[in-house]
Amino acid sequence: MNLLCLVLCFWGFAAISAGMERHARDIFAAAGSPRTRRLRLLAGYALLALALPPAIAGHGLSIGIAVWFGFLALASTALALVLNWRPDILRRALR
Amino acid sequence: MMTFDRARPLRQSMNWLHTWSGLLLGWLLFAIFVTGTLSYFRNEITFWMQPELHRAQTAPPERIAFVRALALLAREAPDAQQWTLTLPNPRNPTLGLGWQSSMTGNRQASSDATREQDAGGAQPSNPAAESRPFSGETTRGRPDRGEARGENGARQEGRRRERGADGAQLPNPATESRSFSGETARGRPNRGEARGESGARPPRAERQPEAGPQRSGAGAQRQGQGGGGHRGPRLALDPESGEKLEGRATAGGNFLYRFHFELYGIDRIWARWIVGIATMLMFVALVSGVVVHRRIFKDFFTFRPGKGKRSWLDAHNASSVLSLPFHLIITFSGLVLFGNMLMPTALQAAYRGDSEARFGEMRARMTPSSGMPEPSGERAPLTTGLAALIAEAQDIWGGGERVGSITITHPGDRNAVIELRQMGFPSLTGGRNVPVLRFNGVTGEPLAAPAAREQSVVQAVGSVLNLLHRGFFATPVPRWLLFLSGVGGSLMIASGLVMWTVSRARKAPEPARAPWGHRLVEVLNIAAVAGLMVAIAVHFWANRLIPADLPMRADGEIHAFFIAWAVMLVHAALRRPKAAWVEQLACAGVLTGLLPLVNAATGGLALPGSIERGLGLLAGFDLCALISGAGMLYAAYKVHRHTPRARLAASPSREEPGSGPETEADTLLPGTMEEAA
Repeated sequence: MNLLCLVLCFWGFAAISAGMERHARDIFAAAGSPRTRRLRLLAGYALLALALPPAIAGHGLSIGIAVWFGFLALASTALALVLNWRPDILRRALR
Repeated sequence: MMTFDRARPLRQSMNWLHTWSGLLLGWLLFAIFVTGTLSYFRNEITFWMQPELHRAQTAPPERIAFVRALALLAREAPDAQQWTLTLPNPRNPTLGLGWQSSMTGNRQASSDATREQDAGGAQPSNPAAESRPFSGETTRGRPDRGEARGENGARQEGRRRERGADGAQLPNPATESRSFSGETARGRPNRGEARGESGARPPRAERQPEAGPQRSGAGAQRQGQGGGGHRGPRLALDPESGEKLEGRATAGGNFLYRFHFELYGIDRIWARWIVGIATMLMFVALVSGVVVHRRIFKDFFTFRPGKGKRSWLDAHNASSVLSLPFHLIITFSGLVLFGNMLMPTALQAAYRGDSEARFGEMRARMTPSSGMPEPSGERAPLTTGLAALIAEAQDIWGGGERVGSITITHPGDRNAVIELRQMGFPSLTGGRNVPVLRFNGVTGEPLAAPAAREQSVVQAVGSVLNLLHRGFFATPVPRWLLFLSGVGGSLMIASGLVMWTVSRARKAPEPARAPWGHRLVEVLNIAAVAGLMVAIAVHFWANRLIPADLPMRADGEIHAFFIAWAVMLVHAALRRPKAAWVEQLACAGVLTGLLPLVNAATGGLALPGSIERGLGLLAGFDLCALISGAGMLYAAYKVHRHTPRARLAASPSREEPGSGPETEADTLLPGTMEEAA
């Protein structure tokens, strides 16, 4: 459950970053159309939301929410590192 | 320095506020954050610091030597009102034994203790009164710092007084004399009063020397992850053999923990005010930082390494923004924990300084009748089937829940009651209501469980913040997340501090010509960041190098910490900044990275052994030491290789801006801000 939550958070943020003009350029060289980017953003937020139920399932409602926030922080930090050092990983995974 | 003679855009004002509120007590905040972060693992740290306990073989409940443990309790504390057995758990593989002699240590006291924690919001100004899980490990034979220990005794005294004032009976005062904690309590009645009224406590008198090694028990009741806590003496046993384990005297992780809100060596009230003010400035810096950071979403994941000042800004932003919820909650809840001390007027208005009235009300609210029978006075043998009761409890709870601690009230009496507490907290919102089952201590028949305590809304809110801040609820995964977020916060403060000097370095490229203020900040930065890391590592080294049987060794460990820190400050003042950074980081890296070896060489369980035996708490400590040691060495290497950007200003390739408009980001830097102003 924890791992699932972390993975969903990570890929949620990955999709969000791919939906942001600047980071999309970091990943794909081109930013893509606004429509594509909006879709990526939506998918990203959806993944982040989807990461909440596993956390709650694993830890109960209140602690689960706290854990979800923790994984959001962890995943976003991990993504920031990947994005700046190995954007090719994201490129391959997202295309 | 910003001048105030003309109107400024909000962001500029906020920028000024952010810079200076962050800098003013940033050094202290860094120390608070680092030691506070380590406190999430203070039980583990304490365990690491008592290598004598490392050979404890954890065991499932059915293999625990309960018979021997109970025999030991009967021998050590035949007249105790209450015995407590803390079962081995992931944070401590030993079997903990504790006992309470007086009625204060009874059911009543444990609810008092829990009340304090439940009270979170309503009574947060008394964080010292909170519990120390596993304090037993640290208390055994410990020539303690008076402050940590005495106050517990004193607190009990305080409670007794409250109770006395309420006309409540102290059923068995005679037995108190058997209690070490009772002794302490009577040794310092004046303090008891002081502790009693947490809101308007007079400044603490001179710390009184303790009369010899204290075994008085620490901490109030703590269930949960930490297992049952105790007030009273404590012993650690090897769970399976029932053999007594004699840990060395050490403050353990509690030193770092207490330092993070009470500092050390200065009056506790003053220290808390200082920490409270620093926390407030932290909160100001966080909020103003969010306002200042105008590209908070656009630059959400941005980190551009190797770009000097901009990289520092990115690192600062990333470490702040990505775990902003944690930073806000931890800072705000820290303030709430100090709330009654920082804002005493509400309590004053409501109770007019009458702490008895306040405690009376809280007690009435928090502790419904405990339902605990009075002792009958007839002797009867205690049931020997503790393992069977555990199995029964786990069947009743289901879902893999485990028993955290066993409390036996009136042992040896016909009315003995056995309580089994669940390990861990089921939720953040239930206060400290951990599921409890009661059994008749002689026959083993189930009894009615005690009623759950109710909380007012204020208490509930305070309790959630309190739990979040202190991570009582945390099983390993949440605990690691809290820890990592704390590391992020420490990096945020450190990068912010460094940025203050980096963004001014261009103005004064030659260190020799730097204004004294810059030099001061630089020196303090080095000593506060790298120097603290050295000091912490030295603290752990001292724990292993100071002979285990030396008197006052626990104080020696703490003194080693401060001596090392002071040496680092002098060193930073004498050396040029870059050399000082490199040397101190390298020193901290080497000292920290070698800790697993020191552990193995001085009687601790070495890393391969702890992994093999599944002792995650020891392996985790050693691995963290290795990783952070390597990290600091890498940082030292990077600083060593670093060429100041100012000297490369002519090289256009390094100035080449990344994608996107970055001038905006530049305006966020204090240095450029002032140039613009």
